[in-house]
Amino acid sequence: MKKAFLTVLFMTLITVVFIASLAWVNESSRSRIAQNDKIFRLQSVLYACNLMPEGVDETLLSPAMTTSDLPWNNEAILHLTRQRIVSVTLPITPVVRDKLKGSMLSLTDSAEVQVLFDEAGAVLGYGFPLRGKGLWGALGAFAVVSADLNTMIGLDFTEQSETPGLGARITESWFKYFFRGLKIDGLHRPDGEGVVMVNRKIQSNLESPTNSVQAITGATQTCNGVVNMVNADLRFYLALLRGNMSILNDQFKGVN
Amino acid sequence: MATKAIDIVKDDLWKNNPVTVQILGICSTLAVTNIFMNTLIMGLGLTFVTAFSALVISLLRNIIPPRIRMMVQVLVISSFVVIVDISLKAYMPDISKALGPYVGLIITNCIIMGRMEAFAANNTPGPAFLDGIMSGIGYSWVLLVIAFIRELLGFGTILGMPVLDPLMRSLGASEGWVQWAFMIMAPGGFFMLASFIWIANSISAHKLAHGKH
Repeated sequence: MKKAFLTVLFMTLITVVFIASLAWVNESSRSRIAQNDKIFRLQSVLYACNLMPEGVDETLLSPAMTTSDLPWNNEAILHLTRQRIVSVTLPITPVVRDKLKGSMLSLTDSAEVQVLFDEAGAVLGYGFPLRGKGLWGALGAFAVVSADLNTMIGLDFTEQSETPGLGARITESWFKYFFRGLKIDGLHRPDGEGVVMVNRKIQSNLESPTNSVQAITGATQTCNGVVNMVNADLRFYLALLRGNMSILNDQFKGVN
Repeated sequence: MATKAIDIVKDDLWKNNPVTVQILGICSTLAVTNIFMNTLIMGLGLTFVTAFSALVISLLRNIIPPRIRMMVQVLVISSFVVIVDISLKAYMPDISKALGPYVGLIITNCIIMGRMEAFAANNTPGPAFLDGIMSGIGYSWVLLVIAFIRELLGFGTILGMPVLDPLMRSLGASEGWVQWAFMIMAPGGFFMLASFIWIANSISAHKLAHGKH
């Protein structure tokens, strides 16, 4: 009996010692990790907004470059975000809610979108998060659409666990470049054609706008996941933005 | 003492290598070896965890009640893994994201538990710590060789720098280096690992047949 008690006591004591040590390590690095996460998220938002570090031309980047390879410094990220992006909360009215059936948005009363401004203060577009499913796990992205809601300004992936070298190439700049200038007007109609993947795209959508992007060879499941995520979530967010356009116009009229 | 240390080094690096001889740690061997840098960080993480877990287990070996020794070992190992995970998230966030769940899965790596049971629980702290380091290095060097070849053939790069593409173009191949997608995928890992084990065991068998140890 005494032996069993000592065994339990030993396990309890050693557990307390190790948990306390881990709690200390966690506490001492928590703010740094939170800051890293925030910077990662903002880098993605800026990339999707087509806002690059000073002196960087996206067309000259290495095709395999990812967002975190861009030569940002934390101060510039925070400054540019404050200067060019404003967060707004849009109400989900009953009329809009009808069009959001099947999405998580239909379960909430409001949704947050980011408004992107140009240097003169005019609204350039609207940004929002996308969620989907890849081959191995969840996909997360941030998309920005133009102010007229017909074109995509850009998209960046914030979460993925796809196969390195195959599906994970969705994070590379060459793949994401095809989302710039992508036509999304078909997503305004229930029967309209959404975004499609093609095996070979000769020109980017900035040169010749279409509703197609280049697929990745050997990563069909991931590409399908990306297309499904973009089409499903964009339809919902476009409906939300259309339903709140008068509010957005009123709120940012003075800014324009 | 010195002889024992040399034996530990020889055993862990070659004669009783955790990957090629004991066939341990295979999941991560297949999962992370398509990019050299990820493999290097994984190897360093595993070496850190194995070494310090072995040190702690060895220090506590005379007071751990035998019936709960494995619970204590798992507690110690998982604590060091969490420290590695938090440190990567705080100081190397890019690599932390690239390695994803594999850092957490160091806890389940059989090499660590195996060394705790087979060595650290029965030896003094010095040799146990050395054994932990050498087991980690024994695991890492095998993975790094595999990763070097997989990244080179799969991506045409070494540490992310293009090597084969410019080489092929300079040799007159207009399309440059055609990436071997097979090498990046899990089957490429199986193929490379099996080839490596075959070569390593053939060398060992040859040495044994010729009386060299």
